[in-house]
Amino acid sequence: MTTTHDEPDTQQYPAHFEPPHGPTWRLFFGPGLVRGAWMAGLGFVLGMLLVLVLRAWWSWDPVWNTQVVLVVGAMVVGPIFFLAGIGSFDYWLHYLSGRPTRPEDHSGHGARTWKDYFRVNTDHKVIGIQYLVTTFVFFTVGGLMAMFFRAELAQPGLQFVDSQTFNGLVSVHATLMIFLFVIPAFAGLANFAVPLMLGAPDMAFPRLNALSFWLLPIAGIMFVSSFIAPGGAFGAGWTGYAPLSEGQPLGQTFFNMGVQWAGASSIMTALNFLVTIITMRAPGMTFWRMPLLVWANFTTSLLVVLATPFIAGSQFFVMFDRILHTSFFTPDGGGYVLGYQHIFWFYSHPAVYIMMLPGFGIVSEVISSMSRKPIFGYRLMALSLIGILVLGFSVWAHHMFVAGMADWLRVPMMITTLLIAIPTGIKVFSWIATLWRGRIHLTTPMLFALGFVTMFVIGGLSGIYLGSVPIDIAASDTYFIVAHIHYVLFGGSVFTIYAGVYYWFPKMTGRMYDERLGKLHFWLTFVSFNATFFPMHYIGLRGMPRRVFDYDQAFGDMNLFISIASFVLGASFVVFVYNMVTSWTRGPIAEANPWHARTLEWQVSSPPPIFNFDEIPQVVGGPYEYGVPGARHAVLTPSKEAKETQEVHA
Amino acid sequence: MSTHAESLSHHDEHHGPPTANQSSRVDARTLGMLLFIGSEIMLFGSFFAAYFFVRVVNPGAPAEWPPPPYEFPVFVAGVNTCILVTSSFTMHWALQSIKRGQRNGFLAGMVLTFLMGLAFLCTQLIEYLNVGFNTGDGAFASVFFGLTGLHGAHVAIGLSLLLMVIIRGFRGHYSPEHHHGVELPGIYWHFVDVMWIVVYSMVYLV
Repeated sequence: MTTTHDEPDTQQYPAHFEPPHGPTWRLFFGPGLVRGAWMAGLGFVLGMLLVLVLRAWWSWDPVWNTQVVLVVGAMVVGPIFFLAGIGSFDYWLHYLSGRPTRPEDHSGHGARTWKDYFRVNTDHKVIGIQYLVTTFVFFTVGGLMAMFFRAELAQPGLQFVDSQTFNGLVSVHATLMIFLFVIPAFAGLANFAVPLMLGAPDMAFPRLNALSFWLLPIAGIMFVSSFIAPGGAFGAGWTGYAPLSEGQPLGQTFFNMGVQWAGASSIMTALNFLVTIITMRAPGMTFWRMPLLVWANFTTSLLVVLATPFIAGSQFFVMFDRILHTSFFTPDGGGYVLGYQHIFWFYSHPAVYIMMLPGFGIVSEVISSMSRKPIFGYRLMALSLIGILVLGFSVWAHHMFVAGMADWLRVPMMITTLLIAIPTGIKVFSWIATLWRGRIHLTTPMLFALGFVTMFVIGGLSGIYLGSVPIDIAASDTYFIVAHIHYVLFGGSVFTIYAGVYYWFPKMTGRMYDERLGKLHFWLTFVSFNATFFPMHYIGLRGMPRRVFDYDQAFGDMNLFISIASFVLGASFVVFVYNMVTSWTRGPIAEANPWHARTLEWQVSSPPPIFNFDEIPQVVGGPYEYGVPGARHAVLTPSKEAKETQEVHA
Repeated sequence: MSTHAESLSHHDEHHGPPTANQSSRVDARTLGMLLFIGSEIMLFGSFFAAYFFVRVVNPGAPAEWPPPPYEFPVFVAGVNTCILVTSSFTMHWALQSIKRGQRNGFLAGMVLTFLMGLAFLCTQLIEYLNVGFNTGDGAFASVFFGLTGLHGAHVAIGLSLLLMVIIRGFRGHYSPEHHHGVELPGIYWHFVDVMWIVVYSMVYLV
């Protein structure tokens, strides 16, 4: 916790504060997962009683309504009590009730043993790793679901699951990948890297940062546990279109509420990033000297803060329609069905940039330092991010060309959609120009970055096709869309996440990953990814519809091929996990700056000292001045740990 | 805690964080509150979007709003509006008082603000019970309960923040030098008030 942001008008206990209880008492009643577990149960019971008492009091029939009890008990009160139990609110409750707060002993900051990763921790580096490990767990779950329904799709007809389970698998797969993997994995990488890159000791609001992480597993557990709800998981897709979603079984409510928790988590993180970037930059770190990852997260966070409330709204409306019998989207009561799609896509189109811009930042870091050249067109790279941010709010209806919306809206939306190719094109050409005559080091992060640039160009080109109304009308709801989205989100976002994880792995863990396994992972992923998703363009244009569990015999061979390729893709992930786990435990000790990069996080030891810097560095130049004689990014007093590491290496 | 403190003194290199550079004239907490309010405005925006869709875009929207025989209690809500707007002024009075070190004015202002907010919320609750229609009575009721309910939830959040300020205020935690804990809930309260004026004019008057 930074002392800078402690409320000065707070009384404190004396410095030698002795906890009055023994270790057993603290296990059950001190902050931690044990207290979190029993308090979550308590919260559920209280929420349930609240519902029952109110319904009995107003003599509503029936008194027991499973959906209402679950929403209030299991999805609102229970999680809040869980958060209180693990200790997210301890400081604030002390502060707000006017009691003296504990003296800041930094005991909730930094990790000394692995157990500290399972606590509410205020260190942005610990939170970054918490985010990454959690998101990769959900990535595994979502990936297994994908392989399961690919097995179902290997042949026409139903083999393994019934239709509702199939729809559930597809919907939960997409929901997990979007809300529990891509968005928070970027938040995790940025959490680790951004304060270091800015020359800040931590984020602006460390406790809020810890809280926003802990909201995430709640959302993930909600999505996954929808499978055990009566009637099965929500099957209306991750888009949850009304009125389809309003007729879904109970599982749909898990989606409605899970999105609220995931959304709250990303809004709070984004707010934290914005405040950190605006108020905590090191002296000399002007906006035009910030690394592009910081720029990317700045624009992404603006998108999150402004757009995410719209998905919260859309899911509230669906839930109200389901529970309170309102008619926001039911035509019988005077609702407007298409309104759902407008409100939903007003978030969810900006969301695809939320899932892409941080990746742009990561790739800019990797490509510049691995080709030993200043990034080409630094200012334009930053401005194009802002261009995407502004345009991103004006294109949502291109998802609705065939939905029956007003005809006059089509062409304006097509034009703005095609305009986005300009800032995106600027970025792609800048990366290529950065590579031009650089001294390219083909390390694993660089391979993933280059894989990203090529795959993203394919995804971007099919995006231009789909942005044009006539082509979209033909290709809508076919596998062509599935191919496009996976080229953008897997070939785009996931490749950049891999690049980022490999790039910062030595900084996060202090150990080096195995380069041979990393390259094997890249090539396996790259080849099997293309084998899985490229044929989908073809079968889509031939007319195979998406969101189906059964299909025409003519697509059988192609689907079998896709399914086999998807299993290879799944297997390639095993290589990654093996590499990460063994390298983290037994890998060779990493240098402070293995990539000889210029940005600030590489100027401290690996892993960085607990408060990042002994003294805040002085920034004197741009972050990517590779090969420029005499250029420096920052001057800093090396921390004690960094000196020791240097001595060891000398 | 004490074991941690001991282990800290063992590795003495962890001497606490360096003071972060303040790279903006804007205070971090104020900026955070303003961004949060920006996000809140967008949340209200999504509810207004739903309102716009069912009333303006929807080809089957009723010509009269609300469709007869239903009526919105415009007058009662108007009185309620006056109460809430007045509470913004008492909030401002409280903040100015603590800035000048006038403790009694501060406490009186806070208590008045809180009571008026509470009166607003209770009036709204009674209005709900006597309004003559329910959530299931059509799209006009959906947006009525949606917008006023969302706003009511924000009043409730604002009230709990004000309550904290009052508790801490009576314990003497604020001074002319340190009154951030009053200022931030105050900003939020003003936001809630201004948003109500928008909700009132859109839902009841237009």
